[in-house]
Amino acid sequence: MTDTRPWSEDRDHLLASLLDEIVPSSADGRVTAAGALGVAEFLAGKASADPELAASLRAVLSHAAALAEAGGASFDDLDAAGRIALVEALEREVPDAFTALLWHTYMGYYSRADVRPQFGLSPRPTQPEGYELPEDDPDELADMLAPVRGRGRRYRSA
Amino acid sequence: MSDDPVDVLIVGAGASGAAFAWSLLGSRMRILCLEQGPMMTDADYPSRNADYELSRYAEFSCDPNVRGLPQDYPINAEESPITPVNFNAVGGSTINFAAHWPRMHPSDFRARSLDGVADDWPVDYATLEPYYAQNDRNMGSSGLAGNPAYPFYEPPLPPLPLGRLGRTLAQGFNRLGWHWWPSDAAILSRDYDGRAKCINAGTCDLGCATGAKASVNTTYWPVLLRAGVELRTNCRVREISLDENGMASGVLYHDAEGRLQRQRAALVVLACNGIGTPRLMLNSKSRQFPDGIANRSGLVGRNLMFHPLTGVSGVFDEPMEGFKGPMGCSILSQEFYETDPSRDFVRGYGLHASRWITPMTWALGGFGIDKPIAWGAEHRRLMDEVYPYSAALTIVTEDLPRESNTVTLDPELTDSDGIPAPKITYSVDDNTRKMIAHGEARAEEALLAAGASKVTGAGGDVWWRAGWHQMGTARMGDDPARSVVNGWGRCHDVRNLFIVDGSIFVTSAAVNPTSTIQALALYIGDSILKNIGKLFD
Repeated sequence: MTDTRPWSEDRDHLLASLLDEIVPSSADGRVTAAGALGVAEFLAGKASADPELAASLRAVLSHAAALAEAGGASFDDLDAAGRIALVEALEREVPDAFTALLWHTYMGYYSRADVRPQFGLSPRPTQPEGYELPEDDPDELADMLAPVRGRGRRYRSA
Repeated sequence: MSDDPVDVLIVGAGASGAAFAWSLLGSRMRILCLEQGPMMTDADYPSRNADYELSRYAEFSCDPNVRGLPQDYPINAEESPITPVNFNAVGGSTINFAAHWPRMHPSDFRARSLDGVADDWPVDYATLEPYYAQNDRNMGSSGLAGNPAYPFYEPPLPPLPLGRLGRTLAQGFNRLGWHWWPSDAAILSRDYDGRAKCINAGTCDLGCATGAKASVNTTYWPVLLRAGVELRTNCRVREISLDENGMASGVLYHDAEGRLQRQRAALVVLACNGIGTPRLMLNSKSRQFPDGIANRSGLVGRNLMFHPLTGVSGVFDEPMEGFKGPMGCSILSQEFYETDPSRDFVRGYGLHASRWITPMTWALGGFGIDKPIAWGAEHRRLMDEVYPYSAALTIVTEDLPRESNTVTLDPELTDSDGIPAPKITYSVDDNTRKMIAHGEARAEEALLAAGASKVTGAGGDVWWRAGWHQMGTARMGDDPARSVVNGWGRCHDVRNLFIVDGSIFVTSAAVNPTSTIQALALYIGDSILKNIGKLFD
C-alpha cells in the first residue's frame, strides 16, 4: 500500500467484482455494472481523502477475502449464487462498513455523465441548458380546474 | 473596520433581512447588514458541474453538519427526529430552497379562536395581504389566480408548467373530487425584471445559476446595494450588546479574520431564522438578562415548530419525467388543510406533488432520508422499473407549538469562533402523528386514482433531514408574559431590538413559510416607519 492508495493493489480486482454484484449490469447489457464502469477508482479517490471511509472499505474487502478463502475459492471462482451469498454475508456481518460501501458506490455510479442518460436525464450539468417542458395551454388548464372551481371556496373566514 | 454607529443593523442577509432592509429604503436611514456567509455568484453553484449530484452530499448539502463550511455553525439534533437544514451566505436558505410559495390561509392566524388550540396571531391575513402582494412582485412569483383555497389574489406571472407528473396526479385528484391547484412558486415562468425565466433544470437545491429562482441575492440584494445598504460578509455576530438603560447598543461580531469587532446601532434587527435567532439571543447574556436578551418571558428558544413531512410514491405505466421542472411542487392539494371535526386531529396538512428526484438521490433513499435502496438484482429492478415511472405526494403537516420543543445552547459544541452551538430538543406530537397517518392513506388513494399500479409509503416515519421551516422560537403576541415580540416585531423587553424572521411565528400553518416570513418583514419595516416618532416609548 502506498501513501495515496487506501488499500493494496491486489484488493482492486476484488473491489470491482463486489461492485459488479452491488450494481449489476442489465440483462440486455445496455446498462454497465458498477465495477466494469470503474467506480472502484471513484471509491479509491474518496477514501484517500477520508480515513474513516478508507477504514470501512478496507474492512469490507478484508472480510470478503476471508469469507472467500474460508470457502476455499477466490470471489471470482464462486458461481453467481455463491457471490450473492457472500455479499449478503458482508451486509449481515459488517453492516456499518457495508452501508458505507453501498452509499459511496451509488454516489460514484450515479454521478457519472454516462449513466444519467439511461434514466432519461441529460449527461450534461443541469445548468445552463436545463430541459424542455411544454407550457400548459390556459384553456386546457381551465378545463382541468373547472371541477375544483365548481366546488367553491375552500377556506374559512377568520 | 468602522465602528461608526448606524441607524439600523440587520443580522442576517437571507429572506427576511433582505426584505426588511428593502422596506426601509425610502427612510434615508443608514442601514448595515452583517452576514456570516460569503456572497456567492452563479459560478459557485454545483448545477454547472458534471457531477452536480455529489455536491448534495458535501459542500452544498442542506445540512450544516454535513457541509461543515467555515461560515456554518454545527447543530446538535441528537434529541430530535428532524434535523434543521439551512444555508449560510448572502441569500441564506433561499439559495438552496425549492421556492415553493404558498401563502398562509386566513384561518392560520386564528387557530385559538377557530379551533381552540395554540394562540391567535396579533396580525391577520387581511393586514398582511398587501405585503404578500408587494413581496410577490419584488421576488417575482408565478401562479394561477382564483385558487378557491384562498381569498382572491393574482400572482405577477402565469403558472409554471405542470409537467407530466403534475398532470397525472391532477387527474387523480379530479377523480376523487378533491381540491388541487398549480403551485405558486418564487420562480419565473416569464422573463421578469431583468431575470431570465426558468429552464426546468430541476436541481433548485443546488443553486439556480440562471437566476430564475428568487434567491434574495438575485432579487433584493442588487437593489439594496445600489441603494447604499452596506453589506459586510463573513461576519458572525457573537452577541447583542446592551447599554445601561437596557437598550441594545449594537453587536460584537467576528470579522472574516476572526477578530472581534464592535458595531454600534440605534436599532438592531435579528433575521437569522428560527434556530439562529434564539441562539444569538441566548448567547447574549447580561446582568439585566441573565437568561438571554429579551427573555424575561422565558420563551426565547421555546415552541420550536418544523413541518414534519413524509411521502408516498406510486408507480405508473409511463415515465413521469419528474426530473424536468422546478423540484419544489408542481401541484398542491389543500383538500385536508382546514380543520374538520369528523377527523381525529385538529388543523390539517397539504399534499404536495413534488417533482421527482435525480437518480443518485433516489438510490440513496430520497431527499431527507439516508437509506440506500437494495443492491443486486433488486437494485437493477428498482432503478429500471420503478424510479423512472414514479411520482410522489409529500404530506406537509401543521406542527402545533409546544414549549417542550426547544432551541437551547449546547454545553460543549461550538462554532469555529467558539460561540456555543444550538441544541434541538424536539418530538412530534400525537396530533401530527394522526395527521401523518391520515395523509399517507389519502395520498395512497390519490396516487391509485391517478393510475398508479403500486404505492409505497414510509409507514408513519418523518423525514430526518427536513427541518427547513424553523418557526416559533421568539413568538409574537400582545402579552409580554406569553410572547417575545409584539405585533410588529419589537421585543417586549428591549424596545430597539426587533425580530423579523420565522422565529416570531405564533403557529406554523401547513405551508412553506418564506412567503409569509417576507410579508411579515415588510410589514414590520412599514410599522417601524409609521411608529418612528414613538418607537422607543
